[in-house]
Amino acid sequence: MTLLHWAFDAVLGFSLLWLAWQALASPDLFRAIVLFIAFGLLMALAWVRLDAPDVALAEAAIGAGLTGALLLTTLARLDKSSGRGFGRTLGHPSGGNNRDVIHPSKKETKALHKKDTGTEVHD
Amino acid sequence: MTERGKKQLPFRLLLVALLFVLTAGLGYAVLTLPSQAPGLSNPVVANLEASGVSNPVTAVLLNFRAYDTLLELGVLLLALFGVWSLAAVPECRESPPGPVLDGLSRLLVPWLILVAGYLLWAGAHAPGGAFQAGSVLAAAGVLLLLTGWRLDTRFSGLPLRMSLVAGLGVFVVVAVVLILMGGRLLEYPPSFAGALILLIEAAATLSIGMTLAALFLGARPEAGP
Repeated sequence: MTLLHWAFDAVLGFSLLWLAWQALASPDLFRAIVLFIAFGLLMALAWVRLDAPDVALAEAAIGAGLTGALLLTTLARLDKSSGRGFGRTLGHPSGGNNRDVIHPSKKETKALHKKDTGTEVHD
Repeated sequence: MTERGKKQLPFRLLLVALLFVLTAGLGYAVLTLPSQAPGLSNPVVANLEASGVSNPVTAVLLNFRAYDTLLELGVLLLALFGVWSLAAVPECRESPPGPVLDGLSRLLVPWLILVAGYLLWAGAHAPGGAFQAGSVLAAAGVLLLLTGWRLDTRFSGLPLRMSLVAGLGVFVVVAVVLILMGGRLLEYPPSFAGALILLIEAAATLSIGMTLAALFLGARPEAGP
Protein backbone atom coordinates (compact mmCIF):
# COMPACT_ATOMS: atom_id res chain seq x y z
CA MET A 1 0.00 0.00 0.00
CA THR A 2 2.80 2.38 0.90
CA LEU A 3 4.55 1.52 -2.35
CA LEU A 4 1.35 2.32 -4.25
CA HIS A 5 1.16 5.68 -2.49
CA TRP A 6 4.76 6.41 -3.33
CA ALA A 7 4.20 5.54 -6.99
CA PHE A 8 1.04 7.65 -7.12
CA ASP A 9 2.79 10.63 -5.51
CA ALA A 10 5.74 10.33 -7.88
CA VAL A 11 3.48 10.23 -10.96
CA LEU A 12 1.48 13.16 -9.57
CA GLY A 13 4.60 15.22 -8.87
CA PHE A 14 6.12 14.62 -12.28
CA SER A 15 2.81 15.29 -14.03
CA LEU A 16 2.54 18.60 -12.18
CA LEU A 17 6.06 19.64 -13.19
CA TRP A 18 5.48 18.56 -16.79
CA LEU A 19 2.12 20.35 -17.01
CA ALA A 20 3.59 23.50 -15.48
CA TRP A 21 6.44 23.48 -17.98
CA GLN A 22 4.13 22.79 -20.91
CA ALA A 23 1.74 25.56 -19.85
CA LEU A 24 4.62 28.05 -19.59
CA ALA A 25 6.35 26.98 -22.81
CA SER A 26 3.28 26.61 -25.00
CA PRO A 27 3.20 29.22 -27.77
CA ASP A 28 -0.52 28.59 -28.24
CA LEU A 29 -2.31 30.58 -25.54
CA PHE A 30 -5.49 28.52 -25.69
CA ARG A 31 -3.50 25.35 -25.15
CA ALA A 32 -1.57 27.00 -22.32
CA ILE A 33 -4.83 27.88 -20.53
CA VAL A 34 -6.22 24.36 -20.90
CA LEU A 35 -2.94 23.02 -19.51
CA PHE A 36 -3.18 25.50 -16.64
CA ILE A 37 -6.68 24.21 -15.79
CA ALA A 38 -5.40 20.62 -15.89
CA PHE A 39 -2.53 21.71 -13.63
CA GLY A 40 -5.02 23.19 -11.16
CA LEU A 41 -7.04 19.97 -11.02
CA LEU A 42 -3.95 17.83 -10.42
CA MET A 43 -2.77 20.37 -7.84
CA ALA A 44 -6.07 19.89 -6.00
CA LEU A 45 -5.34 16.15 -5.99
CA ALA A 46 -1.90 16.90 -4.55
CA TRP A 47 -3.49 18.93 -1.74
CA VAL A 48 -5.75 15.98 -0.97
CA ARG A 49 -2.67 13.76 -0.76
CA LEU A 50 -1.14 16.30 1.65
CA ASP A 51 -4.24 15.97 3.92
CA ALA A 52 -5.44 19.49 3.18
CA PRO A 53 -8.98 19.03 1.80
CA ASP A 54 -9.88 22.67 2.49
CA VAL A 55 -7.11 23.93 0.27
CA ALA A 56 -7.97 21.25 -2.31
CA LEU A 57 -11.56 22.48 -2.53
CA ALA A 58 -10.43 26.08 -2.94
CA GLU A 59 -7.80 25.10 -5.51
CA ALA A 60 -10.26 23.10 -7.62
CA ALA A 61 -12.98 25.75 -7.49
CA ILE A 62 -10.94 28.96 -7.68
CA GLY A 63 -7.53 27.90 -9.03
CA ALA A 64 -8.71 25.59 -11.78
CA GLY A 65 -12.33 26.56 -12.43
CA LEU A 66 -12.75 30.29 -12.09
CA THR A 67 -9.22 31.39 -12.96
CA GLY A 68 -9.43 29.20 -16.07
CA ALA A 69 -12.74 30.79 -17.04
CA LEU A 70 -11.31 34.28 -16.43
CA LEU A 71 -8.23 33.50 -18.53
CA LEU A 72 -10.40 32.15 -21.37
CA THR A 73 -12.57 35.31 -21.45
CA THR A 74 -9.42 37.42 -21.39
CA LEU A 75 -8.09 35.45 -24.35
CA ALA A 76 -11.36 35.94 -26.23
CA ARG A 77 -11.12 39.69 -25.65
CA LEU A 78 -7.47 39.81 -26.67
CA ASP A 79 -8.39 38.09 -29.93
CA LYS A 80 -11.28 40.44 -30.49
CA SER A 81 -9.21 43.56 -29.87
CA SER A 82 -6.43 42.45 -32.21
CA GLY A 83 -8.68 40.90 -34.86
CA ARG A 84 -7.15 37.45 -34.58
CA GLY A 85 -8.55 33.97 -34.48
CA PHE A 86 -8.98 31.92 -31.34
CA GLY A 87 -5.51 32.52 -29.92
CA ARG A 88 -4.04 30.09 -32.41
CA THR A 89 -0.83 31.98 -33.07
CA LEU A 90 1.49 29.04 -33.36
CA GLY A 91 5.19 29.72 -33.15
CA HIS A 92 4.74 33.08 -31.50
CA PRO A 93 4.75 33.30 -27.72
CA SER A 94 3.25 36.76 -27.44
CA GLY A 95 -0.14 35.53 -28.59
CA GLY A 96 -2.60 38.00 -30.01
CA ASN A 97 -1.32 41.36 -28.85
CA ASN A 98 -0.99 44.36 -31.11
CA ARG A 99 2.72 44.00 -31.73
CA ASP A 100 2.54 40.91 -33.85
CA VAL A 101 -0.24 42.38 -35.96
CA ILE A 102 2.17 45.08 -37.08
CA HIS A 103 5.13 42.73 -37.41
CA PRO A 104 4.12 39.40 -38.87
CA SER A 105 6.09 36.45 -37.57
CA LYS A 106 9.18 35.17 -39.31
CA LYS A 107 7.38 32.34 -41.07
CA GLU A 108 4.77 34.67 -42.48
CA THR A 109 7.42 37.13 -43.68
CA LYS A 110 9.18 34.30 -45.40
CA ALA A 111 5.96 33.21 -47.08
CA LEU A 112 5.23 36.78 -48.17
CA HIS A 113 8.70 37.20 -49.65
CA LYS A 114 8.38 33.94 -51.50
CA LYS A 115 5.07 35.03 -52.96
CA ASP A 116 6.40 38.44 -54.01
CA THR A 117 9.72 37.61 -55.58
CA GLY A 118 9.56 33.91 -56.22
CA THR A 119 13.14 33.53 -54.98
CA GLU A 120 14.57 31.74 -51.99
CA VAL A 121 14.89 33.87 -48.87
CA HIS A 122 17.93 33.18 -46.71
CA ASP A 123 17.93 33.99 -43.06
CA MET B 1 19.07 34.03 -35.23
CA THR B 2 22.46 32.48 -34.49
CA GLU B 3 23.94 35.89 -33.68
CA ARG B 4 21.13 36.56 -31.27
CA GLY B 5 21.66 33.13 -29.79
CA LYS B 6 25.35 33.89 -29.23
CA LYS B 7 24.51 37.14 -27.53
CA GLN B 8 22.03 35.37 -25.28
CA LEU B 9 24.40 32.57 -24.32
CA PRO B 10 26.02 34.32 -21.29
CA PHE B 11 22.58 35.28 -20.03
CA ARG B 12 21.39 31.73 -20.41
CA LEU B 13 24.38 30.40 -18.52
CA LEU B 14 23.78 32.98 -15.80
CA LEU B 15 20.13 31.94 -15.67
CA VAL B 16 21.06 28.28 -15.41
CA ALA B 17 23.51 29.08 -12.61
CA LEU B 18 20.94 31.15 -10.73
CA LEU B 19 18.29 28.47 -11.12
CA PHE B 20 20.77 25.89 -9.88
CA VAL B 21 21.52 28.00 -6.79
CA LEU B 22 17.80 28.48 -6.21
CA THR B 23 17.12 24.75 -6.54
CA ALA B 24 19.98 23.88 -4.20
CA GLY B 25 18.79 26.48 -1.67
CA LEU B 26 15.21 25.23 -1.79
CA GLY B 27 16.34 21.63 -1.51
CA TYR B 28 18.53 22.47 1.49
CA ALA B 29 15.68 24.39 3.14
CA VAL B 30 13.24 21.51 2.65
CA LEU B 31 15.70 18.88 3.84
CA THR B 32 16.61 20.81 7.01
CA LEU B 33 12.96 21.26 8.01
CA PRO B 34 12.13 19.45 11.23
CA SER B 35 10.09 16.35 10.41
CA GLN B 36 7.65 17.00 13.25
CA ALA B 37 6.72 20.67 13.41
CA PRO B 38 3.51 21.19 15.39
CA GLY B 39 3.59 24.95 14.82
CA LEU B 40 0.50 26.58 16.28
CA SER B 41 -1.74 23.54 15.95
CA ASN B 42 -1.66 22.75 19.67
CA PRO B 43 -2.89 26.21 20.77
CA VAL B 44 -5.58 25.98 18.06
CA VAL B 45 -6.80 22.61 19.35
CA ALA B 46 -6.68 23.87 22.93
CA ASN B 47 -8.89 26.87 22.10
CA LEU B 48 -11.19 25.12 19.63
CA GLU B 49 -13.97 24.95 22.23
CA ALA B 50 -14.13 28.74 22.50
CA SER B 51 -14.08 29.35 18.74
CA GLY B 52 -17.69 28.34 18.09
CA VAL B 53 -16.88 25.83 15.34
CA SER B 54 -15.29 22.38 15.39
CA ASN B 55 -13.34 22.61 12.11
CA PRO B 56 -9.88 23.96 13.02
CA VAL B 57 -9.40 25.55 9.58
CA THR B 58 -12.62 27.55 9.87
CA ALA B 59 -11.71 28.41 13.47
CA VAL B 60 -8.41 29.92 12.31
CA LEU B 61 -9.84 31.68 9.25
CA LEU B 62 -12.97 33.14 10.82
CA ASN B 63 -12.02 33.50 14.47
CA PHE B 64 -8.35 33.40 15.46
CA ARG B 65 -7.14 35.12 12.29
CA ALA B 66 -10.41 36.70 11.19
CA TYR B 67 -8.56 39.93 10.45
CA ASP B 68 -6.80 38.22 7.51
CA THR B 69 -10.09 37.03 6.05
CA LEU B 70 -11.52 40.53 6.47
CA LEU B 71 -8.64 41.94 4.44
CA GLU B 72 -9.01 39.18 1.82
CA LEU B 73 -12.61 40.20 1.24
CA GLY B 74 -11.40 43.79 0.90
CA VAL B 75 -8.81 42.76 -1.70
CA LEU B 76 -11.44 40.88 -3.71
CA LEU B 77 -13.69 43.94 -3.70
CA LEU B 78 -10.80 46.19 -4.74
CA ALA B 79 -10.03 43.86 -7.66
CA LEU B 80 -13.61 44.24 -8.87
CA PHE B 81 -13.38 48.04 -8.51
CA GLY B 82 -10.29 47.93 -10.71
CA VAL B 83 -12.03 45.86 -13.39
CA TRP B 84 -15.11 48.04 -13.33
CA SER B 85 -13.14 51.23 -13.68
CA LEU B 86 -11.15 49.86 -16.63
CA ALA B 87 -13.67 48.04 -18.77
CA ALA B 88 -15.93 49.46 -21.41
CA VAL B 89 -19.66 48.82 -21.69
CA PRO B 90 -20.48 45.12 -21.80
CA GLU B 91 -21.06 43.68 -25.21
CA CYS B 92 -24.02 41.50 -26.06
CA ARG B 93 -23.69 37.79 -26.67
CA GLU B 94 -22.93 36.98 -30.28
CA SER B 95 -24.58 33.58 -30.62
CA PRO B 96 -27.36 31.80 -28.72
CA PRO B 97 -26.17 28.93 -26.50
CA GLY B 98 -26.25 25.41 -27.89
CA PRO B 99 -28.82 22.91 -26.65
CA VAL B 100 -26.26 21.13 -24.44
CA LEU B 101 -25.18 24.30 -22.63
CA ASP B 102 -28.77 25.45 -22.34
CA GLY B 103 -30.09 22.19 -20.93
CA LEU B 104 -27.11 21.47 -18.72
CA SER B 105 -27.11 24.91 -17.16
CA ARG B 106 -30.79 24.54 -16.24
CA LEU B 107 -29.93 21.24 -14.60
CA LEU B 108 -26.70 22.33 -12.90
CA VAL B 109 -27.43 25.80 -11.53
CA PRO B 110 -29.93 24.66 -8.84
CA TRP B 111 -27.50 21.92 -7.83
CA LEU B 112 -24.62 24.38 -7.61
CA ILE B 113 -26.64 26.69 -5.38
CA LEU B 114 -27.53 23.73 -3.17
CA VAL B 115 -23.88 22.63 -2.99
CA ALA B 116 -22.82 26.18 -2.10
CA GLY B 117 -25.32 26.18 0.77
CA TYR B 118 -24.05 22.81 1.95
CA LEU B 119 -20.40 23.87 1.83
CA LEU B 120 -21.25 27.00 3.81
CA TRP B 121 -23.05 24.96 6.48
CA ALA B 122 -20.48 22.15 6.53
CA GLY B 123 -17.63 24.63 7.04
CA ALA B 124 -18.37 24.66 10.77
CA HIS B 125 -17.35 21.04 11.27
CA ALA B 126 -15.82 19.72 8.04
CA PRO B 127 -13.81 21.03 5.04
CA GLY B 128 -15.75 23.83 3.42
CA GLY B 129 -16.46 27.42 4.21
CA ALA B 130 -17.19 30.79 2.70
CA PHE B 131 -14.56 30.88 -0.05
CA GLN B 132 -15.36 27.39 -1.33
CA ALA B 133 -19.11 28.00 -1.18
CA GLY B 134 -18.70 31.40 -2.79
CA SER B 135 -16.67 30.03 -5.67
CA VAL B 136 -19.27 27.29 -6.32
CA LEU B 137 -21.91 30.02 -6.34
CA ALA B 138 -19.74 31.98 -8.75
CA ALA B 139 -19.49 28.90 -10.98
CA ALA B 140 -23.29 28.92 -11.19
CA GLY B 141 -23.12 32.60 -12.12
CA VAL B 142 -20.48 31.98 -14.79
CA LEU B 143 -22.59 29.19 -16.27
CA LEU B 144 -25.60 31.51 -16.42
CA LEU B 145 -23.53 34.29 -17.98
CA LEU B 146 -22.25 31.83 -20.60
CA THR B 147 -25.79 30.99 -21.63
CA GLY B 148 -26.42 34.67 -22.29
CA TRP B 149 -28.32 35.42 -19.10
CA ARG B 150 -27.82 38.92 -17.71
CA LEU B 151 -28.92 40.44 -14.44
CA ASP B 152 -32.10 42.46 -14.90
CA THR B 153 -31.28 46.16 -15.06
CA ARG B 154 -33.61 46.74 -12.12
CA PHE B 155 -31.20 44.77 -9.91
CA SER B 156 -27.87 45.77 -11.41
CA GLY B 157 -27.80 49.12 -9.64
CA LEU B 158 -28.02 49.33 -5.86
CA PRO B 159 -29.08 45.69 -5.17
CA LEU B 160 -26.02 44.32 -6.98
CA ARG B 161 -23.69 46.70 -5.16
CA MET B 162 -25.28 45.84 -1.82
CA SER B 163 -24.69 42.13 -2.37
CA LEU B 164 -21.11 42.81 -3.48
CA VAL B 165 -20.20 44.68 -0.29
CA ALA B 166 -22.37 42.58 2.05
CA GLY B 167 -19.52 40.28 3.12
CA LEU B 168 -17.08 43.03 3.96
CA GLY B 169 -19.87 45.19 5.38
CA VAL B 170 -21.17 42.55 7.80
CA PHE B 171 -17.60 41.73 8.83
CA VAL B 172 -16.78 45.37 9.58
CA VAL B 173 -20.10 45.95 11.38
CA VAL B 174 -19.48 42.90 13.60
CA ALA B 175 -15.95 44.11 14.33
CA VAL B 176 -17.09 47.64 15.22
CA VAL B 177 -19.98 46.42 17.37
CA LEU B 178 -17.64 44.09 19.26
CA ILE B 179 -15.22 46.95 19.89
CA LEU B 180 -18.07 49.18 21.08
CA MET B 181 -19.20 46.38 23.41
CA GLY B 182 -15.80 46.57 25.05
CA GLY B 183 -14.00 43.71 23.37
CA ARG B 184 -10.99 43.75 21.12
CA LEU B 185 -11.08 43.68 17.29
CA LEU B 186 -13.03 40.58 16.15
CA GLU B 187 -12.84 38.93 19.57
CA TYR B 188 -16.14 37.03 19.55
CA PRO B 189 -17.78 36.17 22.87
CA PRO B 190 -17.62 32.33 23.00
CA SER B 191 -21.36 32.03 23.73
CA PHE B 192 -22.42 33.25 20.28
CA ALA B 193 -19.20 32.93 18.30
CA GLY B 194 -20.71 30.14 16.17
CA ALA B 195 -23.72 32.26 15.20
CA LEU B 196 -21.50 35.25 14.37
CA ILE B 197 -19.21 33.10 12.21
CA LEU B 198 -22.21 31.67 10.34
CA LEU B 199 -23.61 35.18 9.80
CA ILE B 200 -20.29 36.51 8.49
CA GLU B 201 -19.74 33.44 6.31
CA ALA B 202 -23.23 33.62 4.81
CA ALA B 203 -22.75 37.26 3.80
CA ALA B 204 -19.21 36.55 2.61
CA THR B 205 -20.40 33.61 0.47
CA LEU B 206 -22.93 35.81 -1.30
CA SER B 207 -20.37 38.57 -1.84
CA ILE B 208 -17.61 36.23 -3.03
CA GLY B 209 -19.96 34.50 -5.46
CA MET B 210 -21.26 37.76 -6.88
CA THR B 211 -17.77 39.33 -7.05
CA LEU B 212 -16.20 36.39 -8.88
CA ALA B 213 -19.11 36.18 -11.34
CA ALA B 214 -18.90 39.94 -11.88
CA LEU B 215 -15.16 39.60 -12.53
CA PHE B 216 -16.02 37.00 -15.19
CA LEU B 217 -18.47 39.42 -16.81
CA GLY B 218 -15.53 41.82 -16.90
CA ALA B 219 -17.44 45.08 -17.04
CA ARG B 220 -19.81 47.12 -14.95
CA PRO B 221 -23.37 46.11 -15.81
CA GLU B 222 -25.52 49.01 -16.89
CA ALA B 223 -27.92 50.11 -14.22
CA GLY B 224 -31.45 50.87 -15.34
CA PRO B 225 -34.41 52.55 -13.66
